[in-house]
Amino acid sequence: MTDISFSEFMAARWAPLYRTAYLLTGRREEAEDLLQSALARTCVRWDGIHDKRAADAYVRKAMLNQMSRQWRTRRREQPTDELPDVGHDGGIGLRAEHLDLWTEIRRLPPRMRATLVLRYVEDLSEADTAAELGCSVGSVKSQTHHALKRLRIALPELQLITRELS
Amino acid sequence: MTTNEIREALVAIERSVDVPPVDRVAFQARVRAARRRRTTGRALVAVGAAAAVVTAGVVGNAVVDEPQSAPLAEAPGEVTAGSVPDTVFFTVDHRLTALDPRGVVHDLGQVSEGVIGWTTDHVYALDDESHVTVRRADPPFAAAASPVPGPVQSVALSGDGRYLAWHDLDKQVHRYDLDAGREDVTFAATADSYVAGVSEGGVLVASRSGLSLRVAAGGVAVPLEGDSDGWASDVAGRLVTVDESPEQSRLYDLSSVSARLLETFAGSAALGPRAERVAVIVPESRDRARVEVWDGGTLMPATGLGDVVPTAVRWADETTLLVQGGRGLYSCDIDLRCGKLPVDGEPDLGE
Repeated sequence: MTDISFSEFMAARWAPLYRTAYLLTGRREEAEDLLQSALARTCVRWDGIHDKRAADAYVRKAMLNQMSRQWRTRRREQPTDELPDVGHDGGIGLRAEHLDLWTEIRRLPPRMRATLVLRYVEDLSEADTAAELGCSVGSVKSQTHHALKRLRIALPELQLITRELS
Repeated sequence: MTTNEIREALVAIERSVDVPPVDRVAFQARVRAARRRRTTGRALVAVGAAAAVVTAGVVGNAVVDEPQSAPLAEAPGEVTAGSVPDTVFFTVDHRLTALDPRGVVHDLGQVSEGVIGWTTDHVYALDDESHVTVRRADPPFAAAASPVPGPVQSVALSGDGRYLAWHDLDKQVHRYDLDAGREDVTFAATADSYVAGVSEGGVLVASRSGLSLRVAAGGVAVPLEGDSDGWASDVAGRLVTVDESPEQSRLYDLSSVSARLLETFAGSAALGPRAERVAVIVPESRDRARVEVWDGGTLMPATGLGDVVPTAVRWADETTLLVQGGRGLYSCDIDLRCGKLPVDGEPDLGE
């Protein structure tokens, strides 16, 4: 992968990076927008990335940096209540409880959601997650704690609604 | 629920999501924009490097025939030291922190989700379990009794410091009169409701059904334009500001049965405690913004922030504006002259 061109990199990595962007944003359009911006930044700096094996991490970092700027600009980081974009209509092996949990994860503030994605999907340590998000390890612990707490509060009600509807 | 279940759910979602094809036209436009930004950045670096070479030449020659440039003491990026007339509160790395008028920073020894607000007597904050905590506003910042019995979903303190309003886990909205020491308003709300602000006029509640200033079941509706969800709103008296996007906010008067538009701002707004002034963060480009204050119909720019990109503002009182940006905290006086406060780390105003 050391001599790979940017076009080859983008063709090979568009799908997995899009999936990461989708988990980070929770919305298909935002995911595409975020990934395109990050890839454009990567494209103009491609020659400066000596170890092309690290390009995935470079793009991911660019996405997180951009998200970080957005959530700071928005002043108040709040959960999203309106979820007009389902993102997918289920799929083979996708259980109802996964969708329920995802619905609640999408409602989390973006930084909390990003922390969960980095910790549990990208399998980063707390220290590496802190480095990626540009915050302290204590902040990662706090964000994770609050995310789990919110999900635990939200899900009993959701399960009740699911049972009532069924 | 375990972290394993969260991991499984996220991975399952990740695998199942449909991936769109690359929009190459849009992507090429973004690449061109990224190249332009990068070129501009390099040009600025080159100018800086040239200035450094000139300066080195001047220092290295005691006698110079060439005319010298004026000193750069008033360079636009320079920021002076600031101060605050009264103690102000914020968080640093999720720790409740105070800065007193002498410039001394105090760690209050409390992990905090954020500062709700403060009065001359008390500071109100959220702990890491979403409980409202109350402390004296002067050293040693002793803990005081909280009027809020349990964890909250959202909470706000009125600009005049008289009312505290919150949305509890049982979906009830409460308003507590801190002067009288009793709860004076209670009403049921939906699970998705959010207390955006409170004043003597009522509790400003945002929900899926809209934004309204409520004292009970009814209330005065506030228009929501564009993609605004009403979360970023302020109320003081019967005036309300609503952020519709980072580029636009509106000021409404709710004195009558319907909201009356008073002003539109080109940025996100923060209403002063007595509703006489509005601070606005006006974006100039993707990476630049300025602070302006609306005062009696006139917008005045804040000065002394240099190249700092403001990301949040909060009124400490009607004459002192706090600005968060560039990993620092700044205070602006009544004439909007701003200076950097002596706070290390990355302070967060919680706004």
